Amino acid sequence: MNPRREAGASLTGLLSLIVLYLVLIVLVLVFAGQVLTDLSFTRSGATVGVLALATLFPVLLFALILFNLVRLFRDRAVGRPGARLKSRLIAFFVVIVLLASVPQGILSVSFIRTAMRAWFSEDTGRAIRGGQEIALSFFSELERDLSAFAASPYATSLLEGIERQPARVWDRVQGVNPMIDSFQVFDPRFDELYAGGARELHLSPLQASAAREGQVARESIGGTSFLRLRMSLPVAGAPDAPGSGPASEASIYTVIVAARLPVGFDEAATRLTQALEFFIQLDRFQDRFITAIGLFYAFFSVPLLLLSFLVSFILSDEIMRPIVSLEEATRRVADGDFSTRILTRRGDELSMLVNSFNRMVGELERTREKIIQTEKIAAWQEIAQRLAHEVKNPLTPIRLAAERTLRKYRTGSDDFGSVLETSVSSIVNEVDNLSALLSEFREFSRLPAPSMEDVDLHSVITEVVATYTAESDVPVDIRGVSDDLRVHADPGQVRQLVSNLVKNALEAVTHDGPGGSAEERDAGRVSVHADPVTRGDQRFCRLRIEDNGPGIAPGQQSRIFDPYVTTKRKGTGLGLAIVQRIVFDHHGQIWFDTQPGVGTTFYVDLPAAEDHAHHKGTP
Amino acid sequence: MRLHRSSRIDSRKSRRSVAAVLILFPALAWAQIDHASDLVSHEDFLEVRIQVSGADLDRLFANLGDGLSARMEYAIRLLDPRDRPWRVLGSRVLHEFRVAYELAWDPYRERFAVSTQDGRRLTFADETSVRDFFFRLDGYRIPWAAIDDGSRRAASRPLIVETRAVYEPIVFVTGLTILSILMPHTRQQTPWERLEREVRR
Repeated sequence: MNPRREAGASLTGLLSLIVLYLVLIVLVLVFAGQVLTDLSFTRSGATVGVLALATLFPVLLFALILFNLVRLFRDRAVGRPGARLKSRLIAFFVVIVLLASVPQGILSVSFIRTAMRAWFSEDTGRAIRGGQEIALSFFSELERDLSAFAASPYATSLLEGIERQPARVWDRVQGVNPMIDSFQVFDPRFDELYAGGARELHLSPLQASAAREGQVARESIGGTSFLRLRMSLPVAGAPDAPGSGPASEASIYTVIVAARLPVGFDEAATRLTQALEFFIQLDRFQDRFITAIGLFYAFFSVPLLLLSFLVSFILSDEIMRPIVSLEEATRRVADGDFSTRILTRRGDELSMLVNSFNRMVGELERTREKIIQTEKIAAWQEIAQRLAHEVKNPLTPIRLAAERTLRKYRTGSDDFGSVLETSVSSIVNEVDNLSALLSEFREFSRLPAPSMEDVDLHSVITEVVATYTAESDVPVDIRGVSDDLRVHADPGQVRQLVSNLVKNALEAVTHDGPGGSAEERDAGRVSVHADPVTRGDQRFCRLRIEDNGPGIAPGQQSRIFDPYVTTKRKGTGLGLAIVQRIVFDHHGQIWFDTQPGVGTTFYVDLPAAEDHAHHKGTP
Repeated sequence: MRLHRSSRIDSRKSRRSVAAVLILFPALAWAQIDHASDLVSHEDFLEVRIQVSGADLDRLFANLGDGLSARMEYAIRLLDPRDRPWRVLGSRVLHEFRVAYELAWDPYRERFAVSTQDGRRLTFADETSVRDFFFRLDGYRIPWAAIDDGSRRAASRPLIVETRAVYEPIVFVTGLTILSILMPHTRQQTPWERLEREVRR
């Protein structure tokens, strides 16, 4: 078994992409939470690094996709097995991803836009502004009330005689303005003359002297917010007013009034202000916000999309791998390599197909080995029979010549000398024939493996033909041999191939070879042609040797390449067998076309020099 | 000892790049702020003053009037220069102080209100007074004891001070901070101004 390619999943890449996918999802969740609340995290060093990676990541993905696309187009251009199917699969995957993601993206952005317009409409804005105006009106009214109370003649009247009847002052204040929660009066020396209402709102004399005159202050004590106003009021006839001059002149008293704001007013007002600020920002920057959300969506969705594309490449590879392996293995089997097997680890239908293929090729290999073994035995049996026959043939005349010579010697015949000479000559001839027969057999059986190199076919043909035309009167026409034809072959074996075929052709036109009759030699014609041809995607040089001899008898045509089959009286029957063996060893083809009485043409295709690489991997 | 140096010279290169960016992105064509620092070394403390200029005040007060708020952050970095041969690594950061102000219009009081990072709330009746406060860090004191505390730095060693200001003319509320991605002018930052002369106690 020769496992050409390991089938099954290469899951590492796929798992890596899944991990990256999960990382991206986590990043989306983390950043989505942060990006709407606080972007200051983007200015930290680590986050900048993460953002740089997040930017670099899609670029890297895009480069990987581009690389895979280029490889796919190149595979398609060179007709690599499975390239077209793979590109269609990827196209399907991409279409599916886009069909799912594009509407989702449009829907998401559109939903946000619609929701924002619905939630933050003009009515919402008017409501928030109205709320704040109400709060402001309430606040202003309270301010005005305090100021009006402090400035009213009634306040001044309250001060008159305050030292004498303090018990009724608070009731009178409440009767005039129930909103007032605290009322304090200080004399010109900031001694407290009166303090009524909520004690927590009262000021010390020092604080009272430091308070701003005439301005309503908003203050907060222990979570209670209130408004406070300090006013200086003249009080006529006040006793013991130091520095106030005569009693008829008015003394200046300091009045501090305070009014609580409703519980939660501050918090509500703050929230209202914040809501209004939010609304104003959203209203002003709505389009940019949508754009920012879209960009944020794209920032994470584009890498996810690219990741999906990359996954489609890996999945296509995964699906295509057993199919491509099967296709390659089928081609190898067709080329005669029955050792091909495909490994698979999966348990799906494709693995069943692969297993069936492996079993089929195994069966084919065993069958072929049996056939080859049988053919070998049959061939050797036939060769042995023929060799025995060929060896036995000269033994009879040798034996007869030897017995005749012995008989003449015993009888003391007068012509013993001439008989001896004839017999010995005959024996020597037959032994020579036997020797030639055995030499050629040895050559046939020991034909070495070809040593390949680029060979100039025109030169070889010219050289071989020149040798034979020197010994024969039959012209050999080689004008049909194209120049610049180069084959990838063993130079010696190509020379022998051409030599055997030319010799056969010459012997065919003269029947007995160069020693034939003059008429035969005059009529005989041999021509050699060589041209480039293309079969499938392979280029060959086609050698054509044509003679106008008697042709090959129909009964012998099927056995013409068998060893020891010959139509010639002195032929060994190994010439064409050797030629066929050489052609086979060079991965070429040989065939012939014959017509009795017209002639024979032998065709030989040898791989052209530039195409030898196609056969390198084939044993 | 009083040291003064403006960041204008230091930021010349960065201004060129800012100009290039502005050509490409006209939306960024907002006024860019500058800052100048002033450093006074006292017996017990180091006093830092930072004055920011170049802000678009009309736009700022218009935004405040619309109900938006602004933010200013002053950063002060104290550096301890390294001895040879480690000087190539730059100076060692001893301390970094940040002072942040957030400015808004208080519609109830009808005054400008500045909130400080320590929770104080100051109000200003007019634009001039609030501008003077908001764009100036006046008399920020760093006690020498605080500087030397935990820094394992000899008191006699020289000290280098760097300052910068970060101005946000619009502070985005929670939920809209993503806008700052598309509106980089809403965060203007001056380059670090390094007071090259060494401050000694």
